Amino acid sequence: MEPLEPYISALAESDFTAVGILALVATGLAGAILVLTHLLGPKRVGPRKHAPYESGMEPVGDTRRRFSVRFYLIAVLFLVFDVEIVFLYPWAVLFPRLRDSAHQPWAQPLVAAGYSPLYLFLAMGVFFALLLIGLIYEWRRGIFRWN
Amino acid sequence: MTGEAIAFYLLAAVVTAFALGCVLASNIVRMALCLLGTLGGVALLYFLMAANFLGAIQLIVYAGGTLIVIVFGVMLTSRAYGTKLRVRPLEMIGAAVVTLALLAGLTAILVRTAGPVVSPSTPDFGVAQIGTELLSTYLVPFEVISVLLLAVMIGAAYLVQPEKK
Amino acid sequence: MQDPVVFRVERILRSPWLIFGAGAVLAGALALALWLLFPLYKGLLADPFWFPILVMAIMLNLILSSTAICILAERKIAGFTQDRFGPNRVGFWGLLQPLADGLKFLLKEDIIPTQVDKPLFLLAPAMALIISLSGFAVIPWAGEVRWPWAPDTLVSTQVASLDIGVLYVLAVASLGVYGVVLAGYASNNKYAFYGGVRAAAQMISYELPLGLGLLCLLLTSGSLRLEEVVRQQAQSGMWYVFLHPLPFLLILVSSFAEANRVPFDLAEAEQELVGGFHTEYSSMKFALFFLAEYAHMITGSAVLVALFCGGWAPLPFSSWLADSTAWWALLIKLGAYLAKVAVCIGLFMLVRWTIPRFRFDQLMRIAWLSLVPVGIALVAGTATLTVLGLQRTWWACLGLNLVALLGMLWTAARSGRTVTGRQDDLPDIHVEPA
Repeated sequence: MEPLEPYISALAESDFTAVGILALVATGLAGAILVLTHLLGPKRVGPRKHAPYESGMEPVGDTRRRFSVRFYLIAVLFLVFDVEIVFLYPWAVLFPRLRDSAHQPWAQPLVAAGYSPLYLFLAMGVFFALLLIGLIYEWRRGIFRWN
Repeated sequence: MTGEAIAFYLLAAVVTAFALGCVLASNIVRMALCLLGTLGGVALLYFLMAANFLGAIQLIVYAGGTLIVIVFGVMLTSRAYGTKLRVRPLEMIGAAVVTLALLAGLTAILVRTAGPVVSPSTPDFGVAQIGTELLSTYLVPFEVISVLLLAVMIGAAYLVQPEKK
Repeated sequence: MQDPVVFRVERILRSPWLIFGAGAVLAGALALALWLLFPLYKGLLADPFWFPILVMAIMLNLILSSTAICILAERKIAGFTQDRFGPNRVGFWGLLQPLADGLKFLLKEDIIPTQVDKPLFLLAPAMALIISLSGFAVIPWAGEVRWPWAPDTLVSTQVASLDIGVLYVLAVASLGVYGVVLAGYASNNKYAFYGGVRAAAQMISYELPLGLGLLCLLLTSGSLRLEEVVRQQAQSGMWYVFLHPLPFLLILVSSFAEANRVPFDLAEAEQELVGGFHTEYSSMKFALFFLAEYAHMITGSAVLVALFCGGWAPLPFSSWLADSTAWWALLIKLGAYLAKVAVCIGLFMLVRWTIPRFRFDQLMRIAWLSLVPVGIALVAGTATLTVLGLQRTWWACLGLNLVALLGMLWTAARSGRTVTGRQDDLPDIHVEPA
């Protein structure tokens, strides 16, 4: 049990306590509304009324049918770019601070270790360029064309 | 036991419950929902351990990205909805072997790691520091990732639309 | 013939004296109660832990009640745009309409169709509301304050000051898609299912421009903390919207799409999908989706204001009140913040009633072929400015935006058709000049 304690002792100064309280309040609110409206409303049950709504027609076929494979491709592409952007956040936060290090003394060790802004720019430039090639490739292949 | 410890064990129980639900559910969409619960719970565990960036990334990439890909994949295969999914004994043995191997690996890492690697109260261990590590110590893996992502993009394009002649 | 009793009641309700009188009496009673109870909650106000919780309670109430007001405002703006009156029967100028709507929602039958996946069907609206309400935890409503009776403690009006502030907002936004997808799946209705799938594809596509726009901002601010971004803007007086107009637009457009509002409301396109993902929902379950949409809109506007429009800073190009922690400054800052959010919401509503809904192929083309490339170009450009040390220089930033804009226009002119143009399987338009 002991080794866990140092990791989780940060909760006291963690602001997620407040976020947790907010989420609990919101959950309680949503639950209360659902229960309240269930209790208050009238109940008149009937087979027609409780059938799926299809503009007044008898339901035809199965609901869960296959849809265009393009949705799946959009999801995969989104995931790739999402991961890319996630890698960019730490860099984007670090980058301007390195420039302003004269004003922000805590960035000094980074400068002392020899990380010039140009180095960071080029390191990220390679990463960025490869993904740009990917986007251009998809574009040329006509992936974004919805016919 | 401190409040943090109580929160930790509570969350760990919830995550385990969701993970079990994910394995045991017979409806594939409920499985996905349980997976969402597991991923979200792990993100909360990260927040609890003051790894805020990791927690946010867990939510953005896994809960908000990977799971959507899985859900779309499920919806693509129309037959998977209605049928109850049953596990065959042979599959169960295979799953058990993989799970045990994973458990052994994780235990080995846990045993070898002596105490906290970084004190969570270090004020500057923030997003900028992760960026520094990423672009200095781990530069090569980082650039390799971009090649991998490029391969994923090209592969996905081939999967969906084979080259037209 | 109208029932004379109903007629009389309606006339009394529509009298402005009654509405404003009752409003004044209520406000007076509230002020009196607050004044009399002051010694009781004096300690709580100056407590660094409890004050944010108090702010949270107040803001939660404000968001939920302003949802009602927003719906009235929305219908009034719709009326204005379409040259009609909008609601004006219930109460003076329709002011009691939200109350009537709310009561009616609550008293309607709670229909759960037989074919639905019941637990998920009930979970979906709750999830939508919880996720959209959790988003506002990191918004720095009015900076920090020092109460006159406790000059030693600085308390913050932000519910949670997180070091990953902006990423928290993004994370919560990326979960927002599940409420809609779950509703679409659980309803077991074709309209709902298509609505859900469309919504999912749309919301994930528009998260990318959102992230790219944020990157441009981060490359200038160097901080993910919302309160820090606001503080920088307040002290320099240079709101980031003046430096980054195009990223601001990127994020604005993406928040329209993330909130599922016209022109991006394909998930509930009533002409083709009846109601989309909420076709099978009735009574307050339906209203929960509405609440979630408006809460999403309010939170989105508040984040946008914090990032680009100076947050609580009352005046642009001036550092007035930037370092003040007095209680009266708190009121001015809060007023400025809420006013900006109100303007932003007004913009959301005007756009809703002026721009027609996009087709799905247009939607995808706008996201992937217009917003994402522009976003990438802007990130690359801003990074170059940062290397040169020009990321806070207004002429460099504006020049970059201008070049990006001209590049967009040039590409659009060269391609011969607009991004929102015709479907690809239709022949190209060839118009001979007259």
